[in-house]
Amino acid sequence: MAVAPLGKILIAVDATEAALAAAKYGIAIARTYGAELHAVYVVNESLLEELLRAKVFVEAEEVDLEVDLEEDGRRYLSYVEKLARDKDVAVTTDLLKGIVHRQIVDKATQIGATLIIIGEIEEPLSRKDAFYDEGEMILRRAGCPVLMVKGESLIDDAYDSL
Amino acid sequence: MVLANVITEGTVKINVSDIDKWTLIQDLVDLIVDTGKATDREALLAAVVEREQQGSTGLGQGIAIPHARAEGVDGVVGALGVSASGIDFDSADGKPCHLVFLIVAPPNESTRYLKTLSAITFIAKSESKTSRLLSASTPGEVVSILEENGEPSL
Repeated sequence: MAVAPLGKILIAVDATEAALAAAKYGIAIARTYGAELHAVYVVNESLLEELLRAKVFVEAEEVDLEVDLEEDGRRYLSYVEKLARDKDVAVTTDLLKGIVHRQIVDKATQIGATLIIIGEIEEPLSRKDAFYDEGEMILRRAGCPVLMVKGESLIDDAYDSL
Repeated sequence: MVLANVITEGTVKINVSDIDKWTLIQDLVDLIVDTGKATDREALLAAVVEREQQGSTGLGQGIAIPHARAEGVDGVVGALGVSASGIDFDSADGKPCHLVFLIVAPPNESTRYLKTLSAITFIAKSESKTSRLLSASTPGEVVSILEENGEPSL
């Protein structure tokens, strides 16, 4: 049975180097296979609300951080656009808010993504992370293949060779 | 990045007693400055104090998480004060605090900062973890207990 072509790729971007590596690899794959490329950054509202409920944050602080996360998102998506532009690859970007994995999985469904690319999942900070990591939740919940990207030199080689 | 990379042996102060919360915050800021990961002690202290004045970070159940973002901090950095006798932190439940986690970060590290604060609130919910941290006799033992956080218990 032949494998269907890579029609649409969705890159899950967050404010990490790992996500930028995922973007580079996604750009390399999109250009190699002629796939349509999308990149999404999700402002993690659920984490902000959790810290407000726990009384770690006061309301003004939550608002400030939400604004900063939006700015981070715009900055990272802008950088992904530059990475793609440098390799003559078109990319559509979206800044969303909510529960990260749910937004990514819903977006993938909405655009009919055939592949989601995520960055390397970090070592957990706590047992909570060991059980609940947004990257792992994308792996579990996605309705299409998910590729977790790791190996910096391999990724740079793939991107630089375009 | 595990929590033990944020709070290291050099930033743990055990046997804290007979001290008020503002002095403890100063001491914890000094521990962070001593690691070289914060360049402007006064700005960092002012940021933490300003946040604390907006509302106590004493969450209740013996835990407080004073925190702030400030320029001149190299990544997400933390310090921990451990007090068996407890410190008045104006906590939500009116009880003294035994574990005071001070967490600071630069303004551009919002995501890791949030994850770190969330990880600490998770620790706060574990009675076995907090009681072991309280019983630790050395900073090294405290860090070892924090290092276990990535290991799911079966």
